[in-house]
Amino acid sequence: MRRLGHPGRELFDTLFRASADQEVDAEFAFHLAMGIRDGVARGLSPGQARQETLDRFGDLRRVRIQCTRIARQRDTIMRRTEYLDEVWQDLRYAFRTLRRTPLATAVMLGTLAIGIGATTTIFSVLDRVVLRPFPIPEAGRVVYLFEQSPNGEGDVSVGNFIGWKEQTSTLTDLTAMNVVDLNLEDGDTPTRIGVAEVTSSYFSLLRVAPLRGRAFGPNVDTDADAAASGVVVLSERLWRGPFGSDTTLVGRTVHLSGTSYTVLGIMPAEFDPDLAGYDAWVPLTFSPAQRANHDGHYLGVLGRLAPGRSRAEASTDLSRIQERLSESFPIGNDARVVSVRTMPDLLLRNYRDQLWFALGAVCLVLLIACANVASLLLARGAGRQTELAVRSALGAGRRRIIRQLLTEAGVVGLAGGMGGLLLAIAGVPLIVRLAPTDIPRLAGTTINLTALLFALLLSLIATFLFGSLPALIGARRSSGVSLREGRQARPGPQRGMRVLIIGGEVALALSLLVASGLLVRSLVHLQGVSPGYDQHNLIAARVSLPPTRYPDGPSLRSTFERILGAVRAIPGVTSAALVSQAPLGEGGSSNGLFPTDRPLERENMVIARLRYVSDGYFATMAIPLVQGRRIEPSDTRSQQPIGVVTVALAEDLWSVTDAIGHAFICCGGPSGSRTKAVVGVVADVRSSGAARAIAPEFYLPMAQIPDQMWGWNQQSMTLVVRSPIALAALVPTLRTAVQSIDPALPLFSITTLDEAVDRTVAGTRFTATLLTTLAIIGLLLAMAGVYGVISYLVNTQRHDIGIRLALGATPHHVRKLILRQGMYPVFLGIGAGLLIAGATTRLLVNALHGISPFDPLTLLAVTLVVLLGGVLAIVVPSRRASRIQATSVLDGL
Amino acid sequence: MARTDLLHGTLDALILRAVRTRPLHGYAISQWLNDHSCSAFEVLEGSLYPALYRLEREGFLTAAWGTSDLGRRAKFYQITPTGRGHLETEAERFQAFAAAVTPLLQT
Repeated sequence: MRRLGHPGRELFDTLFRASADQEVDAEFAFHLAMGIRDGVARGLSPGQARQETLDRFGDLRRVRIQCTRIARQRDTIMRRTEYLDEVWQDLRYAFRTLRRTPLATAVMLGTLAIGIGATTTIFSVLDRVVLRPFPIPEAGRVVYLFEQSPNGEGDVSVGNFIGWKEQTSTLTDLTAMNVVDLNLEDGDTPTRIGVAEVTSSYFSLLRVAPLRGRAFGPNVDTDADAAASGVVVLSERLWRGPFGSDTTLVGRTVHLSGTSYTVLGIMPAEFDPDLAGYDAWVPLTFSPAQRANHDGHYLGVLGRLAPGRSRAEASTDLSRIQERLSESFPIGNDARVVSVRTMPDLLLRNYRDQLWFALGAVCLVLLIACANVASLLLARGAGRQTELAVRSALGAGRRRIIRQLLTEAGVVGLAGGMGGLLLAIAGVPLIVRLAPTDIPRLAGTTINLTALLFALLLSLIATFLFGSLPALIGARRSSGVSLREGRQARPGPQRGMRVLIIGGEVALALSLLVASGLLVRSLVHLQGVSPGYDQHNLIAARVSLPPTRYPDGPSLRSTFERILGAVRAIPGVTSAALVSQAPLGEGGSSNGLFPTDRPLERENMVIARLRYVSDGYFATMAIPLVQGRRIEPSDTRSQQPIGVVTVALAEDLWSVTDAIGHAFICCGGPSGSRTKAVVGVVADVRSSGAARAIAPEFYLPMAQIPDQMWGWNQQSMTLVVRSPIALAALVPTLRTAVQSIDPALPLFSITTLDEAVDRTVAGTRFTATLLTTLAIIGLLLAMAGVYGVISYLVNTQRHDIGIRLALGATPHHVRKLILRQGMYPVFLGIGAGLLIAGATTRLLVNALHGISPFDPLTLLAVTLVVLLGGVLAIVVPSRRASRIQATSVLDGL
Repeated sequence: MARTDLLHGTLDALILRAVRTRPLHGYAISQWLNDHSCSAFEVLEGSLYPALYRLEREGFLTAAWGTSDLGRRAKFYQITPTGRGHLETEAERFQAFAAAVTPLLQT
């Protein structure tokens, strides 16, 4: 049954099926002939003898088909066995060959191990931080909502949140939250814990079940527990820590900052929606007055996209709602657009781009490593022409030779991959230790099954990359070269191959160096940017006065003033002040300001960051005064309300730097206190770090905070202290000073401003360090590759060079010849590398600061470094070439 | 003269026994079996050849084309070491079977 017209099938039939058919037919024919012969000998006629023999077969057609089928099965089994035998042979042969050249093998394995190890390490981090799903069902449909103003994304006012929640059609639900620090008073020592106040639909929106007990639900307002006392849901970490995994905790009462709460339930450790590590959640409810407030922007808002609705649709929907809200409630509402960002995007975006870039960079290193291995295999292949020619002459087909060479490459690839995996196992803890602490979800990164499979895949891809070309070339050589010719070494890697390998490696190394150079220059730039204050010898620490003991404005004001007095009295403290939010610190908010000389309309409003400060703040921070005066102790509640603005705000409001004599309206409180006279202008401060643009800010006296406004900052202030004493030595005395006023007050969020400023560049420093390390590895590997290719070139041209020398060429000529042959592809590689860099560095643009991705100085410096590296790698073999003894070469002929 | 149908395993064992000492072609194996059967059973070629191919597939026999006594090309079967092992196992099994069955049938 032959099907014609199908060449593959036909070929198969010719090769296998036909042989089984013919075999059975031939065997039966022999049997028949023998049967006839014996029958005739017994006296039968040939016809009778034939019939008798055939009868013994029964249904001959059926027996024939049966035997043919079994014969084909037998053939399949045999082919498979034969194939496995060959693979085993190839493997043994590969191991033998690799052992015969231990140095070259070690170099290949080492190079690959570095490439695969580095790539697997970066991949593990990327997998852990970025690719790992969030432990929240459909986290990609959970969105964060922000009021988008010209100054960027901002927190949300209660009034706007209520408006969104009531009117949205694109979100199934919304929840608002506000983060506070509270003192946990159960246990031996009071602990400061991070508590998220969340509205009732928080847990149902995030869809994570509690570990024990229950979470509060939509009916928390009418809940009997909630009515009796406050309720709290604790984190597993808090339950396991201070409460020692007490299984009877649910239903009992705990005490936070002087208030009792009933424990409703415990959330599992992996429940960490904002990656902020909250210790507890308490219900957040709003009074009618709060619900009407559209000015105080302090809520974080989360929502879940309705089925079938996209992020963009939600953004359009909410922006339309906000448009109407801003028309109805113009005070404090300059946002007309609502920014909607998915949870993974908001929490991981910064790191996602950096880590993908790092993975790309490390893949380039791996490519360079592959090029090196390929060139080593090519050089070996050329040295083995005779051997391959012998194998070919002994009947090994072209396919067989390719398979054998690929097996050799595969052994190198897998062994290199195994080495790489070991390097990655060592590298992951190293990178976790060196990484900036603010990379979320990084802790606990290990080489897991995914990473293992990734390393295996890398090994296979690498094997294909470095193995296929040498195998094809090797097979061509083996068939093209006769045994006699094989004795003579022909030029190994052809000229094209040499240009490709050297040029490619140089191009990749150069583009890596450009990226690392740009990042290093960004880092230098950021470290050189002045924050606008003197961050040295400066300490910030938060103090919070619980509402149970400090229920009103006068008690708060006088206590903070007494604390400040006690701190100023510490010997060694140069100066100290209080501020609602220190630069780079927590707390605070932005407010809308209206200049008094223009109509109270929305388009005249400017949003600026508000800081309430005590007297002495500008002196302590060393923020220069530009115009007028600073905030003084005499600026009290009985005096006219005043404010100090930054240069940027003065220019935004009045387009002048000298704003003294102007006034602005802002910030709630009794109507008489809302208009503030500008008494001073101070220099701008980069309060969000060197990488961020300068934003407008203004300062109001702490002594003039309206009584009802203290809750806005959770009754907390930051102490800023200038002192030459080291942090560790100063903190105990600071604590003593604060506790001399109230022994129950903890001091928290303690940091030096040096550290805080340094943290803002930690990400850039990490990326720069990583990229520089990779670039240096890449450059060294590329130099080794160039060296190897040129050394090989010199070896294969020994005869040629010897003859030239014998004919009168000087060593200098020889050096120049080799240098020219080597530098040509280096130049090509530099050109290609600059093009690659030009096309890819724009991906880095978010990570670059104060520098263009096409910075000419970086490009020039990198080009020179690569050029120098290339020359170094070529000079050594070219000198060796020039020392070849003409006589020794000629003797060998 | 009862001609019993042979069990598969028994036929296999008998074939292996036939080629135990020297390679034979199919026709010769058929003759050997019928010469040694004492007319107790008869192996027809319709079951012999499939059994030969099966034994070859299982690796108990190998086959090679050679020249027969009469100068014709014939397919000769030779026992493999695995085949030898199989033959021993089968022989022991058959003896144990016979030893168990014989006294039962004599009572």
